[in-house]
Amino acid sequence: MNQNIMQENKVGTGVLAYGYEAVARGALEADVRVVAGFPGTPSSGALQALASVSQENNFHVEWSTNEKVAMEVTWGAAMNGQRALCTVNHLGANVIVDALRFAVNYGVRGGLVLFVGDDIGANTSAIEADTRFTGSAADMPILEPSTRQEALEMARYAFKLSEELGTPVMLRSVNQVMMSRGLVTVGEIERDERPSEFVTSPRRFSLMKPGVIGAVAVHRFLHLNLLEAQKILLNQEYDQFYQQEQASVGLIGCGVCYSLAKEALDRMGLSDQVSLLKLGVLNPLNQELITNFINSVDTVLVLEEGEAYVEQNVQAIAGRLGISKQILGRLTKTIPIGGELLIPDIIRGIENAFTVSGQSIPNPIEIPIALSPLEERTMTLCAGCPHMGTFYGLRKAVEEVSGGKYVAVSDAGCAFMGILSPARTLDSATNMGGAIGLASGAALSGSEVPVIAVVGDGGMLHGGLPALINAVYNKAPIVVLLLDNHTLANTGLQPTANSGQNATGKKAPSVDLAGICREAGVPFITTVNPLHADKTKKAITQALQAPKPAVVVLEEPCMLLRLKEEKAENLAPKKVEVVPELCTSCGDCMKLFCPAIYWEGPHSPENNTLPVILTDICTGCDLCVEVCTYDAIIAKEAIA
Amino acid sequence: MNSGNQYNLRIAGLGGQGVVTLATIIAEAAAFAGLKISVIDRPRSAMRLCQIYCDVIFGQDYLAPLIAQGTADVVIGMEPLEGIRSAADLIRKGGSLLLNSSRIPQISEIVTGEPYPELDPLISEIENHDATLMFVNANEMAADETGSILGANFVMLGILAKYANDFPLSADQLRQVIEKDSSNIRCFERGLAYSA
Repeated sequence: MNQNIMQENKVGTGVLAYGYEAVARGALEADVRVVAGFPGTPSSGALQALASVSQENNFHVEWSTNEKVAMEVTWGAAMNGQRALCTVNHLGANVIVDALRFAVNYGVRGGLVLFVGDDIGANTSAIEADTRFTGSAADMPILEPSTRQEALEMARYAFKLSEELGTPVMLRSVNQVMMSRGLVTVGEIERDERPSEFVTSPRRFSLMKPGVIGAVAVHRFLHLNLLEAQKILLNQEYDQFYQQEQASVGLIGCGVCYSLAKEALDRMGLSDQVSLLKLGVLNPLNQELITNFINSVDTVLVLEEGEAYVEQNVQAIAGRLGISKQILGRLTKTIPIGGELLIPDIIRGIENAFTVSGQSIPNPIEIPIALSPLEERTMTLCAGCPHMGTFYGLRKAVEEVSGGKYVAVSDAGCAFMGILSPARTLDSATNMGGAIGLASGAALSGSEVPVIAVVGDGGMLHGGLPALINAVYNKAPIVVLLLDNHTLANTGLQPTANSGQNATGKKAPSVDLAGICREAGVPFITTVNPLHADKTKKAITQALQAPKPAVVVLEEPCMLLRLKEEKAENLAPKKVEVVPELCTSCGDCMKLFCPAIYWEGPHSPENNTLPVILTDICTGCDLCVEVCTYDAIIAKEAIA
Repeated sequence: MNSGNQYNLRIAGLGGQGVVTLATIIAEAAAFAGLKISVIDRPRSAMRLCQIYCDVIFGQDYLAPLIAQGTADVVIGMEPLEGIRSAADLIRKGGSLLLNSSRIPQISEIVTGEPYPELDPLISEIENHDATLMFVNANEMAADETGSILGANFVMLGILAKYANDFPLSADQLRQVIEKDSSNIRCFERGLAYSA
């Protein structure tokens, strides 16, 4: 039991695995030599799975400081003749574009695969996005698996394809495939010595001819190369036309939507009455196959996760050939815009397609009605999160300095929770490394209130540093709160360049962020532990009054790291409790917005309700102990 | 809607309650028993107390990892409101709703003192749906058995094995994949021994 897909050596064994582990296994089987990425659901797990076996298989795995760096590192390895994998999610895919375009245009020698996990449905993301446009805009081949098994096979094959074409290949998948588990059958781990030899931009030089600008020649070549890709890919049979004689309705299922379409048809009892086109190659689209498919039916429903990427292309193909058919999808509102496609969405879409086609469904099925929905639970910081102390200190400091008026924006990550009610400490949140630039703009455009940028250590290392240097250089009057918790907590506690640990759990150099800020010429910088509320308030107050840009480093490891450590050392869990005789019901402790502190009943200033600490949730950070003026909250050990 | 030969289980709760662990144990037992299975994890983030659920589908022939509305055979709520939230959307007529009665307040209750929602009306709506309901204090049972509430998920696994109609795995098949002599197995047995 407890088989691990990365450790399994017996070819043909089925192992319970996540989709992202299938991708990782595919890369392992292809003998990948360098893996780099930046965390983001649903891609992070692939890099972690590879990191778990990198030592015995002797390859390099890293969490890079940002996605662009990861892209560059893997491209460098591929130029050096080695197979390399870059892993990012849909938001990270925005960050890599600059480097990616160069990699595609200049070419590779070793296979370079870009694995992008799109969090369609924005299950854990601030923004929903479809990265197939990124890949097609870069003129690179895109593969998308319909199952976890196909994810393994495509990942393994993509390296070979990349080498044959001399171009990076994108493997795009979505939450429904990547975050789900099922049996995946493993193949052989290939071993092939590839000599290291850095080839300087082979394509660029070989294509240059008198009278033609190199870049233009390369651009033309890339389009011819995609045609070549199509020919090569025919052998893989990732696209399949399952024709039903006399079918007037046809479904195009892209990636996972092929599996979903099959299930929907099965449930509707229509499997033998509807033609199905499975698309696994999303760039270049197989125009001939799509043409044959459109010609075989009168109504086409395009099912895909994300935007109307294939639908637009199918419309264009039909339009160009003068084929008059009904093409349905998102643009016709036959399936919903935004969110994941679910079986009920597809069933309704198929019913609609039948209506459009003038057909009736022999045995229509009823989709059960859901009961009254409940409001979603508001997300919170964890009990004992150092950010609670930071936000508390910030609110107190601005009360003193500017009558409580301020503008504060944060990066992505846990600090993001600061924009949520009930505390609403932050006004907005943005991309990784983005808060400092955003705050600079707000301040430089003439803000009458203090402008504050909130950035984590991961965000500062990701893209915050250039923005901070810009703030120094251009004298942006902002205060930067650097929430240094030594990890990328929100995506699952991945290490950062100041964690003292690398992707494989080995000891690593720790970057001195405060030192970098100082060397960059930040005129005021101070460091404080945010679990000390009063000192935090004082430090932020000082920064608000100091020359700008001012930086406050709020240094305290993520609570989850602290708990791990306490557990490893077998320490008893720390807890606090309220002493009812001392409590005046003033409500100061409530202003921490800690999920472990509640009023024991409906509270009003008159009824003297007492706060209660939920022992199961409290992690003993002692913030509330410090905040209480009446010493009415004490550590549990102190009671005994 | 016909869910065919599938058996659909939703496990809902909050980060830190062992939702994924529970789904993993079930998936391993299913794989061990040679059953087709699919499990999807749906966390809102890696943080504690964030909503999370896993959909466990037995007998799946295609990759459609999310349970369609109104087709769950069983919904387990590691927290009552989270279980009810999922059940309202998913539970089929005649399905089972197994709730750990131990509540975790919502953050909206801080400061405003806005009360935790009344569960009774929500539950009766589900009961009108011919669902069977088990409401057990799994935290208390786990704490009583092991001194810690951490095993509450394994108590619920025992409840599942005993009370869910037609659940595809036997108690023995589940037992095989739980560590011997562990606090988890004690919690599992405790749930299995529970009588309503």
